[in-house]
Amino acid sequence: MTKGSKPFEITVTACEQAPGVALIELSGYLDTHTVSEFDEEMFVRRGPDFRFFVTDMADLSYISSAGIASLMKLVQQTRKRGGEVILLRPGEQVYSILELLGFTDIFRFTATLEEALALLTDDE
Amino acid sequence: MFYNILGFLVLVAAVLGGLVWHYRRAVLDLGRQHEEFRKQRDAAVDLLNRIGLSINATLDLDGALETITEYIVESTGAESGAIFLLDAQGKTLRARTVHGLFPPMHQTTGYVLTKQKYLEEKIKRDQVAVGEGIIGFVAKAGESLLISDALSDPRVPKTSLDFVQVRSMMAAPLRTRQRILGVFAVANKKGRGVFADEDLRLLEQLAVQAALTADIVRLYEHQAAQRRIAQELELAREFQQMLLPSALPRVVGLDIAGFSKPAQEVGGDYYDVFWVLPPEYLGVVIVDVAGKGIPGALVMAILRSVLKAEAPGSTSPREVLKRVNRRILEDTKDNVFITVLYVIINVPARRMRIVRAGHEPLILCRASDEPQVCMPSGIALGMVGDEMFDVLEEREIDLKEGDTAILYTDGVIEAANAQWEEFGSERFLAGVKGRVSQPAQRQIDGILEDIQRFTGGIPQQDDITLVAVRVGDHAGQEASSLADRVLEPDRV
Repeated sequence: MTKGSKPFEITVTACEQAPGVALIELSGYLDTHTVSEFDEEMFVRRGPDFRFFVTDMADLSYISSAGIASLMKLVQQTRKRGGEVILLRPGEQVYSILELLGFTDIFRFTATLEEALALLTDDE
Repeated sequence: MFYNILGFLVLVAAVLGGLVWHYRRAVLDLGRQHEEFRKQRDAAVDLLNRIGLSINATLDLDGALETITEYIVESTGAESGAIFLLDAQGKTLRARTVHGLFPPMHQTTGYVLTKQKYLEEKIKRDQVAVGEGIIGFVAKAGESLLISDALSDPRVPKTSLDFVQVRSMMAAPLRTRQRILGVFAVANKKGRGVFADEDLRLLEQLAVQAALTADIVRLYEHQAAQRRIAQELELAREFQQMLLPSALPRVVGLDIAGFSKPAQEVGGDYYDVFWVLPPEYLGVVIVDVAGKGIPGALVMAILRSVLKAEAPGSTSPREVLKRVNRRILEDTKDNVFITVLYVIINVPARRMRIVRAGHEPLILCRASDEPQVCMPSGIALGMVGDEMFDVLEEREIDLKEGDTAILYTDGVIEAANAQWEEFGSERFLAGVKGRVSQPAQRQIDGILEDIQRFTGGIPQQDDITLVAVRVGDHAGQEASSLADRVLEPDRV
């Protein structure tokens, strides 16, 4: 019906260095077509098992408002449960989208995994 | 002569008898195999009938799968069984139906599960990776497996709970058209017996039917979901169309035009032009709701009403959006956010106040200069409370004759062609700069033509909305009616 969508992949793994923290790796395009995959993984399958997330966005080429809405939902739900989500090394384009929306004031960003884990342990 | 024929016949009989005697075992086997095939065929036919009845009677697809599970467990004389289905990515299997106390497929911890219901729930949540354990092996290899003596088999998970310990089990792949859908497994032959080869063959046969049903279930669910989504989106789109203004106010000294074209599948754009404090203060607003389908449309409706309630009488767009944000925060769910660019123009003074809540910047096309991109700070609506939202910056800009203020949504920038390239800000700004001396409607038409030419007619993926406000004395006659301008979305 519509043109094919660009690929998207999400993997969630328990972080070895920090028990209870999940490492989410996003790659490709998180938009209207692919956001359901994100939702499935984060709100149904693996997400509910964790309360702390580090989201590696290094390989995320693009995020649309649909993707951001889901990301926002994850952050808010997680914070309600006493957890946190750290966004790790978003690329330039993704960061500028988040900046446009003013979300750079709301989300927490780090450049390395170590910094992200340090932030999370500080929280606890 | 007679004795020769008789002798010959006796000889033949003897040879035949000898042959039969010699191949007696094979003959008996054939008989037994025939018997087995007959039993399998009968079982398969019986199962198909049962499934047919189950599906027709209630259209309960999970029920159909449960019926199969139950039937296969009974036919193979097992105590319990389960259907594991592969997920969409084909990497993990999950138990979809369970009959009886099917044992956990992972090593259980000390946590004791004593009620069948909890065990069932645990099984259903149990995920098995392809290649992992017995179920994973069968899914990966596509071969069935029989384990007669599970207690001494290291592949079988052990548990401290006697009543769910696996003593013997079999598993067969569910396969259709060369694709593996999942695995059917049964555990513990009744009466403390063990499973044998013929049990496995029966399982394999029944697994074929189970696979066909699982396939139909999958297909049906997928299509039903698609249909539902499509219907929802259509309703939402129609609804959002109703919310757009049908006519823009005629304002002496300003030339105003607007355009909004929804895409097939996404959340809504909205714009409006209205008097805030006539005859001096005019509000121009553009909105992008992030969220598709019916929820997006409802949020749009809420935003519109809240804005219509809060805007009149207030000449500070910052104060208005702060109030709107508060209301939106109360009225909507967590993951909703809305971007807004709100401009209040003091028409006689030719001065404009702008606030940008996470939206695309305002483009100010000066008659004699480069287009300016105005991007004051601000966070999208519906996300944060007063304290954080307070970063919203209100900027005041003077307007001169011939200037055009352009408001737009990201659909303009993100319009893509067949090579996945974006129209982009540069092309947009260039197009805008080139048309600065034209009337507002022409400017908008021109940008739309640019986009159309760039995308080569590819159906747009996002709503496109543009509002142009040009300062000039010739304006007023050309206030456009939106009804003429909204085009039918592309039907794909």
